Amino acid sequence: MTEKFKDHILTFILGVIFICVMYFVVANGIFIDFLNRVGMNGILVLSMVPAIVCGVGLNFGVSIGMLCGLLGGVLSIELGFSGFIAFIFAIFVGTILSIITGILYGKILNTVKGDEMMVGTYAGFSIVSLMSIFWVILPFKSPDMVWTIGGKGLRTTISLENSFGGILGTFGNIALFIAMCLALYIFFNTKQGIAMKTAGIKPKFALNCGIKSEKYRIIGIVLSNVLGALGILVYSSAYGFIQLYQAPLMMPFSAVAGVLLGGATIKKASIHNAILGVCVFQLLMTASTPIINSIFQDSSLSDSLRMVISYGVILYALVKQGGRRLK
Amino acid sequence: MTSIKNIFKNYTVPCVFLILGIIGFFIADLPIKMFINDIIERISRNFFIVLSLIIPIMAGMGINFALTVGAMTGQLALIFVVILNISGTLGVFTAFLISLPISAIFGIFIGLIMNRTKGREMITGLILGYFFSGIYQLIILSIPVSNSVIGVEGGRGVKSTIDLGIIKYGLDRFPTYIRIFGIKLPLFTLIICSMLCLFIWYFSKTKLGQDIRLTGMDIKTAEEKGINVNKVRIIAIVLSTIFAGIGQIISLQNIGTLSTFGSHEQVSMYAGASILVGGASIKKAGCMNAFIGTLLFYILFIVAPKSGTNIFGDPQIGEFFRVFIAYGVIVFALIINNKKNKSY
Amino acid sequence: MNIIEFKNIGKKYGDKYVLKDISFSVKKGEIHAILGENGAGKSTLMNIVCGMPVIEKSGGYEGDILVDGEKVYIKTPIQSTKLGIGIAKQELSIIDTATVWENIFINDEITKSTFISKILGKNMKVIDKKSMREESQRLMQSMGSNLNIECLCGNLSIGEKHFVEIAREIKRKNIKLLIFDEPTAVFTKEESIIFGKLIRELKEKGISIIFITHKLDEVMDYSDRITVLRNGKYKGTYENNGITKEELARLMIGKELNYPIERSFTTSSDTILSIKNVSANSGNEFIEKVSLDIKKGEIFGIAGVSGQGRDTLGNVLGGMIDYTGEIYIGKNIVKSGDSEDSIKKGISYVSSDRKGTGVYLAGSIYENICISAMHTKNRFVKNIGFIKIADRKAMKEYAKTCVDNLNIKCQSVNQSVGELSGGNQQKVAIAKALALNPTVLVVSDVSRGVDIGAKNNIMDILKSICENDNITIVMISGDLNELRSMCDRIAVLNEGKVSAILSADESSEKFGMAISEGVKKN
Repeated sequence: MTEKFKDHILTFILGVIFICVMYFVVANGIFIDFLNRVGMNGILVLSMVPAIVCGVGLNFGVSIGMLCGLLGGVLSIELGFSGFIAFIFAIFVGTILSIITGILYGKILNTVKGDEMMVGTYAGFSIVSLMSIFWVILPFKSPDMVWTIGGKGLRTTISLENSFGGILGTFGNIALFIAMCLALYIFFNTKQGIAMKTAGIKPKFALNCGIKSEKYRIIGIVLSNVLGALGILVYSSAYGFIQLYQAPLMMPFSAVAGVLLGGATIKKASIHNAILGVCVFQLLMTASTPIINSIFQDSSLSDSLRMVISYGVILYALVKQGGRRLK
Repeated sequence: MTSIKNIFKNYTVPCVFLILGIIGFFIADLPIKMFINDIIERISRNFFIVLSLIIPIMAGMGINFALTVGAMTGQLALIFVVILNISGTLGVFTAFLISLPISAIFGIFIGLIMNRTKGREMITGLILGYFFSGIYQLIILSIPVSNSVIGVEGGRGVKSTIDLGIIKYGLDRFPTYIRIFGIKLPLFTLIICSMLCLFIWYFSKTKLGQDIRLTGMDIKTAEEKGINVNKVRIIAIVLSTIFAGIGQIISLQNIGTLSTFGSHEQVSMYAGASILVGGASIKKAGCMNAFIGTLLFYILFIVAPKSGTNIFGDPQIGEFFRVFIAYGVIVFALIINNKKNKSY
Repeated sequence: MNIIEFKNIGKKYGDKYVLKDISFSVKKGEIHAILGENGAGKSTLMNIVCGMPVIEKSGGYEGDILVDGEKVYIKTPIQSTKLGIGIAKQELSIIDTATVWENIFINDEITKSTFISKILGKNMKVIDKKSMREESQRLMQSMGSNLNIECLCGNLSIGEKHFVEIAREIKRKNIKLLIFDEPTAVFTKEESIIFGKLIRELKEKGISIIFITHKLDEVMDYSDRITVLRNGKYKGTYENNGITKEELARLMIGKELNYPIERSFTTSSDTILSIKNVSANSGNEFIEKVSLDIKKGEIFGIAGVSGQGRDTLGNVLGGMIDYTGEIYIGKNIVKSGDSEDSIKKGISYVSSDRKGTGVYLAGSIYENICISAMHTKNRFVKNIGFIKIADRKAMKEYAKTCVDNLNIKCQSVNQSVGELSGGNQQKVAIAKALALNPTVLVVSDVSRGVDIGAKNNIMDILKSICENDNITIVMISGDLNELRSMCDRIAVLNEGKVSAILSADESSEKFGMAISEGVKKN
């Protein structure tokens, strides 16, 4: 009786805080800012859901999918596409690449069951570094992307003015996010989706049902990768720039923190966790920026704050999940 | 012939890195004397902190990625020493002393959290490192500072680079350098590193050391037989954090500049990669692994940029390559480790 | 002179008594066997004597224990150790990556003081490896074993690991009573001989030995006196030379019941499930070259003490683990370790691990019943283009018919399985298996932890599906009585091999012997 009561009080208090912050945000005219941020980050946070559902856990290696998306974007600019076609082409290439890399990455993760988070983190890091080499040596020629004076290879930040920058607009991004949420929801209700959920939550029970969990782990990682590719393209489009080299290094952590803030755990997640999480996280960011700027006159503080919140949330999820049965 | 094959099989990673290093050395075409001086300087700078990874590996906690926290306490201690204006060797030792209690407190906290996430200590340590890094950044950016040496104009925040001239080479130079055939040896620093090696060796022979080793081998059975595994693991992390603090001070007194935002960031990753390159595994490591690993890893560190220039015309590629290798080594070691555990 | 005396010892878990009114004593310098089959209460009794936390946590025990004449209430392992009681359990406390001598002296090392330890405390004392090595060598030799003390324990056989455990216990100076839980189960012929010599030497030194077993051979070879337990009750203590193996077998198993229950059909003579030379290993258990031919329409039982291979055979049939050898359904061979293939070829498996494998506790009843069928047989799906959407309405309807047919007590098919009683959870697991339209249904430990009403219900269900739906049933169980009342034929597994295939109405003695004796070595 008291447990449920405590839960309700907590939800009530959180709800009140949420409304207050929302009011503050609307009052200060930064509501559009909030919507923008949600549209930008939504799909990236959503990409965590299939990975958790299939049993792999937090996909710190989603940067691999992101790089596939970036490669798609860069190719799209190189081939001179602009506007909507550029965006579709980038998504198309990014999706194909993330499916291929997702299958490989998924197979590797299947061999290190239990250590997926650690291996994922460092696999992600190493691929980002490897791609950094490729950004330098690949023979791109487009003047929008290459260093104009001296220096080899692609610039660190590439403007999307002439390509697909801002192509969807704030509401377009949100619509795409909702569309992907719906697509994922439908998937989770198909025969394959249910098999994947079962394999992720109870591998032994799934085995008894005839479900091969290894196959579904790979499918989950591929989905996660594809959403990562799509997510980074949406993000870059909204931001107006493609960021290469070290930028994707730490982005998975924000996505992980986002889904955890929405109530997901390392073993269990659903779509509403992603939706709630991205809203809460971005609300915090939107609201804190004017506050921090007025006190400290230094916007890099908001970056540190984001770091602290993100990592604190992930830490909490790890501790809550507790230890692993060794042997 | 078979024994060389055997060495390669048992020590794959160090052998691969030796070959990479030799190839890189020839491509880079660096003058030998400068190269050797460089290597010795890098070893004296980084050896201590790599050693601090050994005890948590003994305790079965894997690579202590929360080493970053220890590095940060070392930096805090140095900032204090700059404020107090204590120079030279005395300054360095004061920094050691100041870092000790702070490292111990953080070490206990980290140990307590790792005890709640048994089996996932490495990812927990990684996240803890980033988390404290964020808090450290917040403090550095916003704390009101009046001292002009370390403070930003405007009174708020610590400078992003602090000159450590007053204690630079405080350890290396003490009492003087030894020169052999024109090669500079920071004798005192190397002596301090050897003292840590000696301590680790003695430690593994004590009852506490044996308890730590058995906990690392099989935590369930150790606990069944009455070993207080939680206490033992906390002690391991505390020692590691303390040594990391000292190690970072040693590293910074050689570099001479403190980059407040960045000096600590890659510490745990480079140290982890170093010890793995030296042939250690996540379950087993010794001083020899630390030494050989530091040597081989930093050889690659030095030759990679120049090789990048000579092959691709771009030193950046060399840098990316060495970071890629460092990360890749860790992934590789994790995969091998997981396979070995399965074979039980 | 009694070293330990049990007076009216009882233990209940919840409402159920697993031990009641156990009273007997063990003399000083005596080798005393405790004989019984599964569920007899032997391990529980030993847990009590050793102060295992599981006993205290579930309400403690009743009755009195006297050690050396003094009444004690044993609460913790440390207390038991201080009383001079040592135990070598079946699940060994051995660290595989440590050497023999390290394991013998674990947390009990011989240490030397040094300069540093005087400052930093006793934990910094150096361990005296030389003395520990010498002592371990001495111990091993005195036990008659020539194990190398530098060997890593992971490289030893299970029997040798047992010796290390024993060495760890007997090095203690105050040891009065040593307990062995199913010791000879893991020994080779040579190791058994060493073991026999060892316990006789310990007996000479005045140390009493209790060993728990289901093996009649060893009981007759080693013990001075034998206590028999059955179903948690005490069935007497006998002198070794005053009783025969057959009488012990009968005491272990129980009275004759009326066998067999008449069935209204005849078993065909066609073999539906053919198991040929199957060997498999799953952690603590293994099976070796098991060959069985199961006829269509029969109820075939598989009996044996826990750990002797029953569970492994179940998992093999269910496609949960890999095996060598061949399994045929009709003329089709089944792929090893592939549960999807096993199901598609017609084998459904209800695991003995109900909560971990049989059902998904957090899921609803209808999900539990239908997921397997949906996945392997494409039932309960609506096809929209190439997408297969789960048809929850159809699932719920089917689940409702299962609830009615199997008499599952629940609020609705949406209720989560975790809220049901054990018996009803088991019925859900059976429904799940039946939804697959199997040719052969394998059930393992189907009535464990199930109340008597639900148990009878389940037995009726099994009989009915065998008679009416023509499903062959393989019933794996540790409850011999249950098997004898349900099955036509029963195979007994011992040490991973089939020691006998008996018809249900053969004598209790024959069953007792089959359960406790190894396969006759030619």
